[in-house]
Amino acid sequence: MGHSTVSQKQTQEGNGETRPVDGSVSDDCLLYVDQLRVEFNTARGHFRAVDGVSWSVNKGETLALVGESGCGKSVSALSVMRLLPRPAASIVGGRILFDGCDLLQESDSEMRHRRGRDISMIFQDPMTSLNPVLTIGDQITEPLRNHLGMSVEQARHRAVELLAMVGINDMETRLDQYPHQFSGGMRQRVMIAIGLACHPRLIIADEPTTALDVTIQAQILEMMRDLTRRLGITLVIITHNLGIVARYADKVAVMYAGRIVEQGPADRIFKAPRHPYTRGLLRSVPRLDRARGALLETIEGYPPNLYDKHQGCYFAPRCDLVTDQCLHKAPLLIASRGHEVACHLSDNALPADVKPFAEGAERELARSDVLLEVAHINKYFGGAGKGWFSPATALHAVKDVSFTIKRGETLGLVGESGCGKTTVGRMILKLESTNSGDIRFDGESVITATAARIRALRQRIQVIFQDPYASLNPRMTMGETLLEPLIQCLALPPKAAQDRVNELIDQVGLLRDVKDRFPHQLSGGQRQRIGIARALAFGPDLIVCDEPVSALDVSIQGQIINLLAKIQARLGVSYLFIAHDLAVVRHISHRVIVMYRGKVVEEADCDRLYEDPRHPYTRALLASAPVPDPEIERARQGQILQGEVGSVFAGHQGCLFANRCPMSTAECARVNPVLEEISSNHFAACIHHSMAMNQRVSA
Amino acid sequence: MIRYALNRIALMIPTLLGIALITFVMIRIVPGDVVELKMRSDGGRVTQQQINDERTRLGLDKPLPEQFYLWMKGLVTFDFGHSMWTGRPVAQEIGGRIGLSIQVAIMAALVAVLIAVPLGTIAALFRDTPIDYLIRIITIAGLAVPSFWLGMIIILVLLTFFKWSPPVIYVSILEDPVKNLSQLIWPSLAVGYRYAAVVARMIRSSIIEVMQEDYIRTARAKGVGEFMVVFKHAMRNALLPAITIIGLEFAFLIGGLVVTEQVFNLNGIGRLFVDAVIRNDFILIQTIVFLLAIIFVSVNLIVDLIYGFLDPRTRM
Repeated sequence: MGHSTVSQKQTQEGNGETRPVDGSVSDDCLLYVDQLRVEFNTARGHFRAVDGVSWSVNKGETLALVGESGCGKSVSALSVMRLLPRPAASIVGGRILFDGCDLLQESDSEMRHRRGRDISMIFQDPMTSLNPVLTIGDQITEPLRNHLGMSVEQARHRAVELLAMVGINDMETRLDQYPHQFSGGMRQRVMIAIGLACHPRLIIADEPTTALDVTIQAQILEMMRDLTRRLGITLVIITHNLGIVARYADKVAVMYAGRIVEQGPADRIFKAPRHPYTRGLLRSVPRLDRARGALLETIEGYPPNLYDKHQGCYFAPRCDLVTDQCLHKAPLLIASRGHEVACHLSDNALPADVKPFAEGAERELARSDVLLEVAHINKYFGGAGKGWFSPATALHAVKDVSFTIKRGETLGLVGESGCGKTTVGRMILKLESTNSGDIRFDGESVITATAARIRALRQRIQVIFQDPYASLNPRMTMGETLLEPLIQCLALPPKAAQDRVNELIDQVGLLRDVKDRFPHQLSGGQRQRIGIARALAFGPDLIVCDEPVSALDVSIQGQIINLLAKIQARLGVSYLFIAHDLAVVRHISHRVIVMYRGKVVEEADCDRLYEDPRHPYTRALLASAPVPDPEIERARQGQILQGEVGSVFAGHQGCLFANRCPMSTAECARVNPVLEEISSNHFAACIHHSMAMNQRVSA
Repeated sequence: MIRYALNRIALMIPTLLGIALITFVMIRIVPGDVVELKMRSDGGRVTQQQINDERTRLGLDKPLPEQFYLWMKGLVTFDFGHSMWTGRPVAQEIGGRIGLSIQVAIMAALVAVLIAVPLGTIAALFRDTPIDYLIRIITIAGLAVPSFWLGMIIILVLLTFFKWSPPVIYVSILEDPVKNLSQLIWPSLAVGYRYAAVVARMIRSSIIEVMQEDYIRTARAKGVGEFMVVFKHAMRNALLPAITIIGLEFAFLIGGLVVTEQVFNLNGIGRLFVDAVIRNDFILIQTIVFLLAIIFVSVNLIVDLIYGFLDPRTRM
């Protein structure tokens, strides 16, 4: 097998200057993954998750492995660590050369000594990646004691150093705490400290910031880049977010359906992407630095199901430029000047932009009557204490929030996790009680409505949840899921209900055979479409969309947002669109509200907010959102917000953002800023603005 | 932690009161009367007058709320009353037997944990291999075989193959440990097998679940050896759900020793309870039920406290 792949590779590469073909590797190369093949055997069948993938990373370099979920990027990284789930996955071919040694030939115990010492890995979800019953100190010192034979005191001393290095204060106390006493961002710092502990030569970071807030994301990435550079550690970042890659990677490899479709130096990939998939990915990232079109650019369709046999290019079914050749013959990865592309058309120069940035008619609406009016709502959690001996501290989760949504309007509600945005959504649906304030839907108070009225109102206020898988009953087919409300609540006769289900499925752009499928048989995007169809079943006036796209791949995100926009244009439904990402909200919202620690800090019409953000927090959020363009990214350095979001207990004094704000003064810690209209229809809660305005008035 | 324990102990009071009330009412709804039973069994003729006198002596003629009040008052002052049948103090009747039952229960629990933890862990680590199938057969047999039947088989095997039978007279473990253990180990094994089967299955599934957790992958990525991955990183997490089962089963055991005590001819609390029920001995029944309730609730509290010790997330 080894021989045939090598010779095949020789012929593929033709005259392009490339990586070694004879097995010898240059001294600079630290890790060289060569023609890796990984297969999975599961109850559903057999498939090749990684199919002849080659990539390499030189000492001190940062490589980004990019692709959507299921493309094999994590599998190829776990293969390097030899940590693939057993017995389901097996490496069936290829070599993994680490500093000249083939890791696949090493014994289990040799490999174990490499893990954590030569190669470290940082995982995606810091909430689940640390052992909940062991102290942080125990978990950091473990590799030190195992690999370097340090004594308890030595290891502890080093652990203190490591915590300081990753920016955790109060190290001695922190070492004796447990993971649940740390925030998500702090836990990821701990994970990095564990990764750095033995000073490895290579760190593989698998989606290290995906589960974190935007402002924390930027901090963590910045820190990782600085530390790895300073310590001379080679970094492989696995991500689905091209924006992240732009700022930090030297080289980029784009994977699709278990193969590499394009790889090369980061600058080249971003400036002149040659594979249609890379181009599509770059275009479907919602961007803040480009004009807002009515519809987002997307890649239509879904990634292929690897269980089925395919012929030709895997990307062909979704490709705009598909030719006959693409359907029959799989393209080979051809290199020229260090930039490799697997596409039949890459020889012919592709048109600069395949499609112009979609120009739809700006959705103008007769913004007349108010549908939802939220007035000064407050929400406290806890407080009274759970038992007789418990203390009474209330968490002030939602603080005096007011807004209105008109018919056919989309209001974007943006903020980091814990800012209260989801709670506001739940209060509107009365899934959560309201401590004070009023919520009026179409003139009727939701707060005081009887249980029977609420049931009726909920047919008019629907919801789409973040996790489309968790919010579908795994034992019901999609047909049953959609049928249930129609028969239970509307008491439609079976025939009419069936017709309505078909209509809903058509409306969300699915095929009707989806009715017989179960949730696990659908992709994330298809599940979310079902979620939308279910919300539409009653013909609602308002849909609360709670982070509807944050669990989806970039190319699918755009599809869902476009679908929501289309449905709004057709049915005139209003949305409350809750998200943590300003870029996502921008493309669908008419107005945007930014929340921070339970309070509204800024509210404005969509375009105004992005053109002229007034609150320092909004500016920080905008600055933290990664943009897939290395030049822009490099120019934006040094705008990263420090610190973390805390919780707000009742009785807080001063501006809640003061401790992280670059403009913060002594005044900020004393005065509670109020939401003021700083220009027409643009509100911000920052004393610097009101002061500036007062001065202008008095002058 | 202390605050949590205090809260829990305070919450025990309404639970126990509810149990007391339900027991009190239920045994009085069941037909049959201890006085008539006792007098009739003595033979001879009994006049209605005699029955009434005896009822008055036992306080059964008082209105029910007053009887309940008197019982509660007795409980609080540790005066549990006298058995209606034998006339001996209830404290004495129970005190002489509870030690034996608790010892059997503790030994059964030990047997169970000693068998279940390794068995469940091995089954999980060798999941879907012949080793796992073998352990599965052993545990399912444990669930399917009634302990009294197993007890009889144990006695028969001892008799026919070893020509030996366990001692019949109970001696406290403090007096003669060898004799005590040679009597009580057999019922403990008979009961402990089922107990072990329940716990082992729980441990197997919980280890399988924990081994898929992200932090196990993290531990492996740190280069931790497989042995430490299982015993340091997985075990503590996996034991959490198993401890709940161990606790519930333990409390259940003391109440459920009735049949096993008959088979092994042990004079324990289970047997006392059966006799009390047959004789409609209200005072004795309600005191035993109440005692079992206290044990049940306390064991649950202990389980929760151990939980708090093992799982820092539940510490307050």
